[in-house]
Amino acid sequence: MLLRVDNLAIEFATYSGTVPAVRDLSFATDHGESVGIVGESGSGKSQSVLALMGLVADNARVAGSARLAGPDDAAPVELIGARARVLRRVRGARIAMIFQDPMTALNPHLRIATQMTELVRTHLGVSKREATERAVAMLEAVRIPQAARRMRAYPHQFSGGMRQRVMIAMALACEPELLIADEPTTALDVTVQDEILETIAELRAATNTALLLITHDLGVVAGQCARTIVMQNGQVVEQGATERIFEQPAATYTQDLLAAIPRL
Amino acid sequence: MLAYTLKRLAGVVPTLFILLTATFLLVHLAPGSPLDGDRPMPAEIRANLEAKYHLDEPLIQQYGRYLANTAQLDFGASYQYKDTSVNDLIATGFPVSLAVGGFSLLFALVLGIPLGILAAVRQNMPADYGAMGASLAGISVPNFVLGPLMILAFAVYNDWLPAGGLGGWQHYVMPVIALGTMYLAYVTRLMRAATIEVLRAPFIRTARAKGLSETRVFVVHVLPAALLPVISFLGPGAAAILTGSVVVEQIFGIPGLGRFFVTAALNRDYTLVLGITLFYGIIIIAFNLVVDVLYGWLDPRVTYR
Amino acid sequence: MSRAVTKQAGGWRKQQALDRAAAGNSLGRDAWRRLSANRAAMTSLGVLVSITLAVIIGPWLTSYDYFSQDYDAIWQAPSLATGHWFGTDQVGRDLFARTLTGGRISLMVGIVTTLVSLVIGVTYGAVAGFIGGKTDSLMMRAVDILYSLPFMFFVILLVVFFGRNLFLLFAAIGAVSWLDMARIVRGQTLAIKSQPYIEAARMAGAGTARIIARHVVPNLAGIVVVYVTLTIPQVILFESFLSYLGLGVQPPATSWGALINDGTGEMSVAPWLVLIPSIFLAVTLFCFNFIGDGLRDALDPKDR
Repeated sequence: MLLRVDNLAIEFATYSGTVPAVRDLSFATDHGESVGIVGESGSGKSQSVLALMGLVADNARVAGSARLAGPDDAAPVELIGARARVLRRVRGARIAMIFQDPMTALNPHLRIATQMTELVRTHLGVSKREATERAVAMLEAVRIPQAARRMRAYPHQFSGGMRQRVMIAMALACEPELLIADEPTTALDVTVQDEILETIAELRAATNTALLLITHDLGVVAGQCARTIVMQNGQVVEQGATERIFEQPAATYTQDLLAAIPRL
Repeated sequence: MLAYTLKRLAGVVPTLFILLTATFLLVHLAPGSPLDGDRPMPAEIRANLEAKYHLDEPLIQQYGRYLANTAQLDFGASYQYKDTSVNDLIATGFPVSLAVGGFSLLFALVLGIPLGILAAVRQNMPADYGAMGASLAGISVPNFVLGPLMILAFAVYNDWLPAGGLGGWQHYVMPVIALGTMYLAYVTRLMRAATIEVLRAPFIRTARAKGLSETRVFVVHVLPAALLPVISFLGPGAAAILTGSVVVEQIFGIPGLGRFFVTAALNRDYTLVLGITLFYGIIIIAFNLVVDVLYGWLDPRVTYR
Repeated sequence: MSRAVTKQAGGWRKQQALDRAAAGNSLGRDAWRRLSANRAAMTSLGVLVSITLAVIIGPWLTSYDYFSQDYDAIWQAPSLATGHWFGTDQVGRDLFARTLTGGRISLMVGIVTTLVSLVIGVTYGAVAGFIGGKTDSLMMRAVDILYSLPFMFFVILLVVFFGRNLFLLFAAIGAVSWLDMARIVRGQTLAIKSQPYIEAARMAGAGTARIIARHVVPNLAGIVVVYVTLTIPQVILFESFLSYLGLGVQPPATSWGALINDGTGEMSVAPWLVLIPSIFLAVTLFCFNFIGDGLRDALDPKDR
């Protein structure tokens, strides 16, 4: 088992009292597996994965456990409440993340080269030249034309789809064991969405990377994930094999979601 | 980058043109001739002076001459100090004003930037409230209030610092604090607001998700973006500091250009007032140009637009 | 006495109108609630109202006027016994009367000039934002150019060439302080114009006048109020600066800036001459800034 999440709960302390965001979320993923988390906005799916990375807002209180299997059968690493130093060694290196809006997720002030090599150098401890080579290879892998030259460009010189490709290249540059994709295609044109999903699938297959795909779109899950978790109002409504959920949805909420998928 | 710089350079031309035309028109719309002193002037002396200052030529010709002279940075002679050219007075006074103004700007930046960052990372905590209250007070206490109060406290009641004049570094302490405090307050507020905004930006979350150290996240990702508003404040800020130096030089008896300006204004020394206005106008326009280019260099989105 | 009463009544009526406006829409009421919870801003408002009342009524409360000289009573320290509550200056003029009379000028310049800049700035900004396109970029380029000119020097140039009078001062300061307002109103107009609800209103058949009255003006009002509160202290500061240099209000009239200038010369023998007007000026500016900040937070609470 790569990642095991038990009874994850998240609350936010606000001026008008505590607001629960996620209650009692438990699931597990193995190496190379793909799990989809589906739910409407505000269902707590994004906050759940941010909690795994220790990236929730300051006013969040996280309880429960999330254990990431140690490398080479070492003891598993507890992520919830982990020290900053422990989390930094996991982020980007063992668990990587792609965000919803590629327009704002890349730093507009820095060249693509800087943003990619800083990650590679932080985790792999290689020279600047090697880091650059690795970055170019990754950009080529996500099919960015003239990758070496484009390294010098700034994010705003790329289209939305291209930026998301850069994000993918960056996320997978250190060969993480788990890739978290938070609505990776929502902000993109419909025509680009499939290409992005394909790129992710292709690269994952090559490195046996597990995938945690957050989406509000059951259609996306159907093509990508072996297992699906359906969330509503911070709670798991049902989870199981994607096929089973599509054929025999147990919860009425899932049935509603399925009914909402447009048929051709 | 070069194209951007050239474009900004070209953008300066209309500004300079308006500065020159506005001042020229102002001079000629003013009631009475600049030669109308308190006492009537003998006719031949008047004619002589008119010829010397070319007041007998048609307006358009005077305008052409005015443009040509200003282009050569020749501001003519002072009416008041008969034998001194405005250029000489600028050459004497400006270095002094530049020193006081420059140190004040430095004072504001060196203290304001860290203070703003501190307030931002401690948002809604005592340190933040303290810094914000203090900077609001700083904005509300004008230099001509702060200056005299400091003289009372540190020169009159205690003999810690010289009350005025120029000399060693001690002479700069009070003028720089008096002039710089308001800008220190502005920079602090700007820096706080910008840092808070950048810290909330999605790309900072990306940087953290990459496992970068907090130091690297701050120095490489937060700081350059958060400094941009402060950079763009440098233009208006420098203009305001030059303006403020007029008062501060008055309070502390510093023989700078600002002091000449006030004396000239009170004595209606037309050419000197005009010359200094033009000179400061050109300085400020040039400084704004430098700031714009610097900004374009720091924010790649601007250059490519 | 009757003048004071009518002025007060005017102020009260304005307050009533403000209350009505605040109660008129839920956004205003919401903002008012947040503002009243801001203790610093409410204290500032109270202090400001007191200063305004003092400036209006004060000069009638003392038996001294602001211009009579009394060489038997020079440099008197503040004292209740002599009736010179704030002391006297080097020619024996009563500082209490001078400070409050000077305050009238300072506050009046602040308010009148801000109104001038409000009218120019809102009109200019709204026109640029509403028309948009080439006109907008040309108008904003003009503002940019004006921004990069050394204003204070221009105003002084103006005062030197055209003589020193209060009316010119209003016009000159007003003419240069509308730029911020124009920029902000233009930005806000552009933002409002592209809001879906404007489109919706248009589709529903609302005319331009109705759209402006029902949607644009209420949405501009908040930000304009904030900038008015922040422009007033700037203008007061501006006037004090000119008067401090001797280029603003001319004797026998006086203002806080002029009083501070007078006091600076006497401060080693009579420190109250500089301290008292300084306190009045700084406290007034501080209160305006605090209220402006509080209003901005109240109208745009995302920061808190």
